[in-house]
Amino acid sequence: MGNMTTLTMTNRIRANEQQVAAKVMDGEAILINLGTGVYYSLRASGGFIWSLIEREPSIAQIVRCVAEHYEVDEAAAAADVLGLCDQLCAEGLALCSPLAAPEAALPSATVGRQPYEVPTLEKYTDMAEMFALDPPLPGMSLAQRD
Amino acid sequence: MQTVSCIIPVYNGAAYLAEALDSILAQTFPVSEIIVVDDGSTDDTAAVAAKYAPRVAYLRQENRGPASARNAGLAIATGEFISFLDADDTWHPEKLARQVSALQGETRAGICLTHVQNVWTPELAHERDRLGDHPFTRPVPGYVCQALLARRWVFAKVGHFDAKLRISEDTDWFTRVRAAGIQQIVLSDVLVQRRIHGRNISFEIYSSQEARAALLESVLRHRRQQRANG
Repeated sequence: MGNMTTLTMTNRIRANEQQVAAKVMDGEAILINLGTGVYYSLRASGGFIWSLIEREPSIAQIVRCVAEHYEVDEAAAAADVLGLCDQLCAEGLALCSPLAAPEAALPSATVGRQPYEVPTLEKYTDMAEMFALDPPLPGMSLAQRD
Repeated sequence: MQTVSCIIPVYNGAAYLAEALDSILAQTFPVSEIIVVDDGSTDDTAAVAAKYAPRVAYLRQENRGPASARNAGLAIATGEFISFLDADDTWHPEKLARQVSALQGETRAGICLTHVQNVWTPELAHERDRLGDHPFTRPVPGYVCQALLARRWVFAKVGHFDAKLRISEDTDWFTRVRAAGIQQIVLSDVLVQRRIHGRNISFEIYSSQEARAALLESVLRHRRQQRANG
């Protein structure tokens, strides 16, 4: 990744809705970068984190929420969440901003903590050629293709 | 001689429909039938199509989206080969000839695609300029219906278009063709011009949550199938 850690715990992160179509289905998030045709999958804790990002939380909130829902301590969760969020921003899937407004409300854990796996952003280009024809909406920013 | 059907789904496409039909009639390999499926247009689409009768058959349905319109055309098409053109796009005169020849040369292949070039209408010249030499401005392999020539059996094998999808129905269909292991030929020739005019249906999709969701579900199905296949 060219663009190394610039995010901090006090950043807020949100989906790049203009450029990305995304949906969490049965715990798996599918994200399509409409500008490049590349799509992504986030499973397990990754899908969970994306569902949080849709509420525009701070990084610190995501970390707390992950540690609450999964069998992982906050320090390990912080490293993983920062790493994933950096990747999401670098791929143009998410945008970050300084935390100004009050924090978002996130769900609290209702059942026991689940086994934890490091969230992984899986990237697929096998359908990019099928998505390759559609230029972005007029006025929309352009993502660079790899 | 092989018979080729061409199906044109159209929704309020009066502005460019004649140009599309003329490009079909100018093919060096003649089509055996042209079926315009009017997907509930409220403009002069019917009048434009009527000028081409009886060479062009005209069907009308309530607006149900391009997938449904394509399926309506498929239901009555009789050709051994099936092709599509959108009402705002045009074919190169050699399009069918080169595809038929490619498929005749490779009898195991089920479909043949060409490259497609996006072209911007004069009103959108500024959009074109803004893109510079971005890949959108260059010819790309046409995984879209207007660049397709398919043997009839392919539809029997993988099914018709998913009418629940208001857009990306072609992407979904091509995904199924690939998953079924059907051999495809992609010609490097640029034989389809795809007009970008600001009212393309595929532009509207990106603002429709429902359409986005359907596309995402289709991608998820594909991903899970790939995973299951190892």
